[in-house]
Amino acid sequence: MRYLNQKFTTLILTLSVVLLTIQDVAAAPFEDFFRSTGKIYVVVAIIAITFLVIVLYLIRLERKINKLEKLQQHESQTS
Amino acid sequence: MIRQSWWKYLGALLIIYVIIVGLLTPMKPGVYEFTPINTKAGKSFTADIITYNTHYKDSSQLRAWLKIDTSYALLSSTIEIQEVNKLKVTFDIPNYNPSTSDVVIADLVIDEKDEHFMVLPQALYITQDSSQVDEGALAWSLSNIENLSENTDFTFPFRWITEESMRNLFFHVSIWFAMFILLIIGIIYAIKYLLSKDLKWDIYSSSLTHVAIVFGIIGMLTGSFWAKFAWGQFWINDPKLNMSAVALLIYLAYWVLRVSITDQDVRARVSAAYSLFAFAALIPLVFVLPRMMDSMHPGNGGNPAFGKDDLDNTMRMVFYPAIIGFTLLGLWISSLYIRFQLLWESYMIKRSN
Amino acid sequence: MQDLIKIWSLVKKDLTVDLREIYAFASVFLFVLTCVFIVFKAFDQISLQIWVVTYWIILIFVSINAVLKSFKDESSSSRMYFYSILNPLHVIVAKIIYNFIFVYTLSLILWIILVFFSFNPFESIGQFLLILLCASFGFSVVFTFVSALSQSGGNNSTLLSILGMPLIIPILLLSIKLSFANTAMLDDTSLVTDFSLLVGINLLLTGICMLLFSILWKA
Repeated sequence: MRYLNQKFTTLILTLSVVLLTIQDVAAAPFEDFFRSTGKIYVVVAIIAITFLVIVLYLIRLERKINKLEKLQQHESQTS
Repeated sequence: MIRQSWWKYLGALLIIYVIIVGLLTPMKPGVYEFTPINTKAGKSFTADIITYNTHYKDSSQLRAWLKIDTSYALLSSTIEIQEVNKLKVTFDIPNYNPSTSDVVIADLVIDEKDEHFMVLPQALYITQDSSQVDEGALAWSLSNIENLSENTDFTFPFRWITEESMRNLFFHVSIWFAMFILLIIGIIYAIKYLLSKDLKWDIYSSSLTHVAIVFGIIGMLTGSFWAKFAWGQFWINDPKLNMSAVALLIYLAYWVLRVSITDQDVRARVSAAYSLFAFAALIPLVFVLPRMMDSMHPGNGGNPAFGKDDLDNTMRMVFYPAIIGFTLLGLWISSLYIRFQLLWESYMIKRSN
Repeated sequence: MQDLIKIWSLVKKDLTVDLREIYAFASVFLFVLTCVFIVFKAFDQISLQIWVVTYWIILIFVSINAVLKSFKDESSSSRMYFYSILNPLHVIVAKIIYNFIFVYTLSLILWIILVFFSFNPFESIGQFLLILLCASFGFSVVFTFVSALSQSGGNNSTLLSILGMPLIIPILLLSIKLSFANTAMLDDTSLVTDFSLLVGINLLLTGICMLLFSILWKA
């Protein structure tokens, strides 16, 4: 779990660095893309964000269920 | 109910309907760009207009007006079609404005025979040096805006600046609504817990609140992304934004509270009491305060160009299903969480025995 | 009448306990003085806006420190004793009133110190005192409730500020807005609605606080 946390932190750090670089270097194209075609890509991005967060939550839930399953299996093996 | 699946399928169907209809329905034509934006009375004024979703041909029958209030209108003198979405329109602005003030703001109305008419509110600022109200009123009332062609197809209205991102209404706004519905249901279960002291209801209440927090985070993220492209910044000092940030803070504190207490009964009691109290503190915050201050958000206070009829009947036909759909999705996710926690609970009891 | 006498005796009990240990007052007073001094040193010239915001920020930190201890020093045995002889409604009302008096006094002291160090930005002192009255009542209700919560959650002191701060924001924002209006920085026409909103929030929170406290108390 600690290993996972470390990995997660590294991932977030890398991502933020990448995002900052993108913002620095290519701020204009990034914005231009979302402003093109009547800003329809803003809608696309927002749907993507919505489902991304929901999926992240579901992954977290599934991890918990896995943990419970493992505990129960362990229990049935020992008894 | 929690194990029945019809409402889950209904929620999924509604969201699919919202995504398909919300994304595929075309926008009505509208004015995309209008330059320059100010002129003087008594001059001939030529505007470059870029329109959106129009298909002008040389044979198009176009008319354009400048409109002041509801009673004054001025027909254009010439209209030159340059491209399918580009016009050059000339107005002969009368010598005097129909009011005593130095500046009047005129709306632009453009009508094409085969397409829906379009309005750009507050398009042009007309300044005058001296005023002659009678003469101005006469000159401005020579033409009437009439016989506007209307397209009765299922289309969404076009708004300046928001443009296609208007469709975010079905996602961003309905997520907020869903969040509040989930919170309210969570509060009802919290009351139920306090009355019965049955830990089951605490699990119901806390799961619903957790999912509501997730929805709140989604609403915040999507909102700030939309704000970047509608208002230019990820975060602006707007009462509704600030209030929802505070609401989120309050509920993150709820989450911290639940994590920090280990004893189950104490946790259930304290968090139920806190969530009730927090909800009471939230009511003025979310429902009263923003309504009293000017907001960039449409509806109440400020921003007239955005406020009028921007939720027309076509959008309602997607917006309301979107609210129901996202609420059902939230309930579905929280029902999974509830079932997991109930299993966990029974497992723990079994193990301790 | 019986209720009022009981509540008053509880308030008096708190007052005597706190007056006996005068260091509690002294430490809060010292805290206020230090804060003001730091702020005064940090900004050479204090503008109206900074004055008002500083005032409220210092005030919430001072009052959170002052109020949050209100259930802290009661040991579980004395709690059991109180539980057997007292009505929870009396206890919570007495605590709210006592904390209200405490916070109101503090806010006046803070105001006097700030005026002494800089200047008085308010146009109408009476109105400002009224704002203080409403705000300190709200502070006292919210912080008393949170303190009760954290006490029944095992006296976790980090919990106090985490729970208290977000809850106080509506009251704080309204008070800041009202005091801005009082400094003539803001041309405000909705004074009456703001005041009634503040009073409304206070009453609502008081009602819910009283309701929930009896539940917390019983456990």
